[in-house]
Amino acid sequence: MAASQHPLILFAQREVMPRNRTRSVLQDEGYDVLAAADGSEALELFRANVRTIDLLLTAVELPAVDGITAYRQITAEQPNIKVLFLSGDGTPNGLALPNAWPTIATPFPPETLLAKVTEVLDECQPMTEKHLNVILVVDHDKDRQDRTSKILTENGYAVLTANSVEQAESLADTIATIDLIISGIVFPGHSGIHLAEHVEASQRKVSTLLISHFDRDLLHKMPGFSRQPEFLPNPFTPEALLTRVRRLLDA
Amino acid sequence: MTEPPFRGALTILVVEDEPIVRNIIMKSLVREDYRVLEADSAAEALEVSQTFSGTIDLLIADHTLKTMTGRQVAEQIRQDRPGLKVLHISGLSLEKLEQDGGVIPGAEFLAKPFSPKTLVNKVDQILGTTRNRSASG
Repeated sequence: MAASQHPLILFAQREVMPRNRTRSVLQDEGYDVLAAADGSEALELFRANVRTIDLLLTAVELPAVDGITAYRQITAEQPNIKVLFLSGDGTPNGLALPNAWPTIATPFPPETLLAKVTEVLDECQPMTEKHLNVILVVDHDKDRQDRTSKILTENGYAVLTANSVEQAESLADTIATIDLIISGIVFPGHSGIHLAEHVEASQRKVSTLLISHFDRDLLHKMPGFSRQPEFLPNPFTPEALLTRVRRLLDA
Repeated sequence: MTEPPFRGALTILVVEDEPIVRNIIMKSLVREDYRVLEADSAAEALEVSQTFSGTIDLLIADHTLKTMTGRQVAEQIRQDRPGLKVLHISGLSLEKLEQDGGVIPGAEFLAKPFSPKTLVNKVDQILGTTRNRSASG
């Protein structure tokens, strides 16, 4: 990094000691750093330093305003800002972003962080033209969860994953900017229908796509199933999944 | 003769729940070579104190935090770090602050708003610091 340039990094992370360590590493390297404990603080700092911030370095899960929401609000006001997400920070299985989106898995050694920050600042273009659609994939079958996530990330979607409905409901309550939930129906605990009703009750604009290998006629006997508009029989092809996803996100 | 400590050898913990003010304080101190830890709440300040294994030479504590006063935070941290020096900062006058719990004995006070230079001068005065290690050091 050119020492004379002092790029300004807006950094948001909930945990206080990792926040202090990361800020210190960046400052020791010559970066100017604004540190926030939450997305709401990051937005406040951004608005006090608007158009001077070079990079948003943010965790996804933050106490009040999550990192994705903060990113969307900031880029709406400063489209040329660059972003680096901390992946695996707080979220049960982390956030998988499409390849073009820069992420760094936590915890990370200082040299990895510095290399990634340099790479993003020097080589990456701001992601201004791309809308970041976030999809929560809920499946207790890890192989199927991985397959679904892979199809989605390879086609430009950001993916959060949860292994149970309870975990998904917690994530959906925490991350404001989930655009779509793709969930199995039959789980050991609460059902996918329960999850869809939970999200619907929050009155947010989040669509739900339910997936199951059970016969539709059998599923119709489950309370609440007939009210769910989108259902995809399992097994499914990537094309069938992507068609449903596009339709729901465009709706 | 004992040489005064240089800034880069000293660690300051800043607890301030207003992010813009906290970051201005941080920037002012880091620019002057101090090592600085930040906390955005009383709980975070206590966590930092319990987790950080090194010496904390000064606590800069905003008076009006959400769950505690700056004095209460300082009192709790001093239980584990008895020699801790404290600088209280507040938008209240010292007189008003005394009516609202006051400052911990031996602490200094700086009224907001203050300039970065005023802050650094105050911190230098409390810690008896010089900017650089002497040539012989």
